[in-house]
Amino acid sequence: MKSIQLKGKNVEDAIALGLRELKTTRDNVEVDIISKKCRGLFGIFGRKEVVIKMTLQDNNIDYNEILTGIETNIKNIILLANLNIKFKVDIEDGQVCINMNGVDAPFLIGKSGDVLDAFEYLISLMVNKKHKTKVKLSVDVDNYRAQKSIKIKDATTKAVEKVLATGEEYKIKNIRPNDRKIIHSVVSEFHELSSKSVGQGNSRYIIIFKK
Amino acid sequence: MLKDFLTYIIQGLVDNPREVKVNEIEGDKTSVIELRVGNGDVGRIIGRQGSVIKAIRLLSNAIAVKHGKKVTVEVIG
Repeated sequence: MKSIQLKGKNVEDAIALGLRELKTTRDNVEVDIISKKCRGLFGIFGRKEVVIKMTLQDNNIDYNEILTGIETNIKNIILLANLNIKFKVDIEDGQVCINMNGVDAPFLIGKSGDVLDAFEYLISLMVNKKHKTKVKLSVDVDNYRAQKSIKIKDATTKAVEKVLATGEEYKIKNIRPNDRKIIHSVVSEFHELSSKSVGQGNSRYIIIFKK
Repeated sequence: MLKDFLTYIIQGLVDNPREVKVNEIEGDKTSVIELRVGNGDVGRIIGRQGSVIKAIRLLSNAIAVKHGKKVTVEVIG
């Protein structure tokens, strides 16, 4: 792994300098602050100086190894849970997609996809712990997620039309984080509208309103 | 059945897989499953605001219902 030492006026400055030198982005480097000191009186006069060490991360994740790892993981889980499920593992734009189908697959969806979310969460924890990576996983059963996102898009378009017609703000409640993302992206296509998420935890909801 | 399944999942989440002990107390309709892990690993299977244990409970209940049962999962620390 390549690493360099840099000096700068402040940490951000030094990082920017280093990224230019290594020709990379912030995601691919690890930054250690070696020293941070102010020379001169009270740190007001004189020079401020920060020394950082920047290490280029080995970003070539061995996807083949991870894929076989995921496959054995899921195969074992399905076997131990005694379920009749077939699955396929693919990579789509840096994200590992697991698609399952079979007689028992609907049991893994649950109430509005909560079991599916739980399964996805546990699998990604297991895989990322085993390979010490931060790979994003998405699990789908019989295209459930794809269909749900189409439904949400339709509902959002209707809500948007309502807001455009009446000018009043519109609230959408009981939405999961991933689905909120879809709503925001739909609303952002309309220049005169804006959306924001309000509230905490489970009671978080979305407001669509005219700017 | 659920015992082996949970053992596999928990072992994949903790630092010390050898210290994982899963005990199943079977009833007619409901089973109680007790999870024991090493000292430093309790946080790993509970997660931030119980996110991990919540997921474990949801998933094991879904599988138990498939096999005509109910299950309660408890962490014993």
